[in-house]
Amino acid sequence: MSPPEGTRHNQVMSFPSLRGAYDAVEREVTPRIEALVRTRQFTQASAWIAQARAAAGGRLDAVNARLLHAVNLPAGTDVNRLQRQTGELDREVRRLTLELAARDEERKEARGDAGTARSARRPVPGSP
Amino acid sequence: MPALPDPRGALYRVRREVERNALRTRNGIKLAAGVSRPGVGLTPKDVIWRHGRCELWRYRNDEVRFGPPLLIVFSLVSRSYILDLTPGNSFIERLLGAGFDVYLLDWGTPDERDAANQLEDYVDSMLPAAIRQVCRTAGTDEVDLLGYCFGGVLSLLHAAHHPSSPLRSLTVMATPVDFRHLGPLADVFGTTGLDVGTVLDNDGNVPPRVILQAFRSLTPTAEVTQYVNLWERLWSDEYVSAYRAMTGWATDHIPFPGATARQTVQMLLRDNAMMTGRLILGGDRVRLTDITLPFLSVLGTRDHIIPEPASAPVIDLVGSTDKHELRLAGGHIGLVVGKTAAKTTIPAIIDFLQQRSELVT
Repeated sequence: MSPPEGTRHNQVMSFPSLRGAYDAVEREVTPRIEALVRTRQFTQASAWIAQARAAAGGRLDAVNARLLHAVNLPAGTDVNRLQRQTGELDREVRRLTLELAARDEERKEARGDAGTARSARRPVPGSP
Repeated sequence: MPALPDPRGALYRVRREVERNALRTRNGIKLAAGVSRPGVGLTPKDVIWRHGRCELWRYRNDEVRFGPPLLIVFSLVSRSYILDLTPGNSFIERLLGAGFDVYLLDWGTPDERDAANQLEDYVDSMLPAAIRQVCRTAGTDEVDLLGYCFGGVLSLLHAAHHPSSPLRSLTVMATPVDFRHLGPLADVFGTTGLDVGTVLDNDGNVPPRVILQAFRSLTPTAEVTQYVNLWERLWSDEYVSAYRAMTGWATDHIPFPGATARQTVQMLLRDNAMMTGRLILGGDRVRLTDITLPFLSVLGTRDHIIPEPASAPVIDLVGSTDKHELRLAGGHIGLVVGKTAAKTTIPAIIDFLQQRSELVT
């Protein structure tokens, strides 16, 4: 349904809208909150909260680990440690794989059997 | 005597509100039930290389007119489908339409196997391998590199650390170099000396909730405003669809590898190494002045995630003579999605790349 001529803006806009009220409040409040989160005190408080959380989590994990170790069971922290060690190994293997691939390609190019239409391609980093 | 309001106007408003409330109810139910989610990242593509969680995608394009191919490097904290949000509102789609052979390096979702990944893994190892793969697939000697957000940081570091890398040009979008201006999260780590270890998850990575919280703290009232906007336009199918796609992406972060986070905080934030020239990668001193490629920096003056003072200095830091800056009155996402992107950003990037490309047959 299209609005009757000349009514859309003149009349609809004259009603006080909730949106207008929200915008007025938002304009007033937002700069203050944004200024607050940029204060040194807020930054310091955020850091303290993060540290307190981490410390509390660490203590809880330590208690859990002691209990589980007492009955010769692995704790979550042990599993996490193992996961990280496996992750580091995985990363090392991936890094070496790429290094080998780069060397292999370099060797092929040196032999001139790269097998592509490319000519005189500049060396790609990653190759030693 | 004041004129009486036209009764037809009142009738129109009542009917419109009734219609809209019916649509609001329907769309509200859809939203609450989580049905009819808009499809994102739909442009057809093939995975041409995999390495761990990382994938290199080639977007299908039967009408490639320009070479060399374009490799896009995405950020490490969010999902890459923002560049291919929805059909008709896709950065990738436009690049394909302009005749480019487009590749995207997506880092995937890191887990405990990626917690030890350092900047060097991305800059000196995976990125060069991806560039090699693009050259091999496209049968070319060079690529154009485009980095978005933290992907721009990785691209800058790569180009600076490997001046002989086969790059034709480098484009960075919304890329921070002066990390002191990154807002509350940067302040928490930069000024209080907070250890990154305090926010790491059990898998050794910075969890997505921390990243999301950090972004929310940049605009604390934005979420409420978002809901108010949604209520106001809940009747519009188009708006609701765009809202779902955008908010879906904005809250869909991925873990940030712990070792990279430590390096980022120490080197890029506390030492502000890009600005102070104290970049060290793999034991080498890295200088952005070693970047001499044709260079384009795109930044948004209303970007609250990477504010203008954080991204603007890059143009003076690189050593290129053929360098250009595009400052747009847009936000972080507005550079790649929506009207500003469609009218200004994407055409400017296409123009920059086309001028430095050759026609391919």
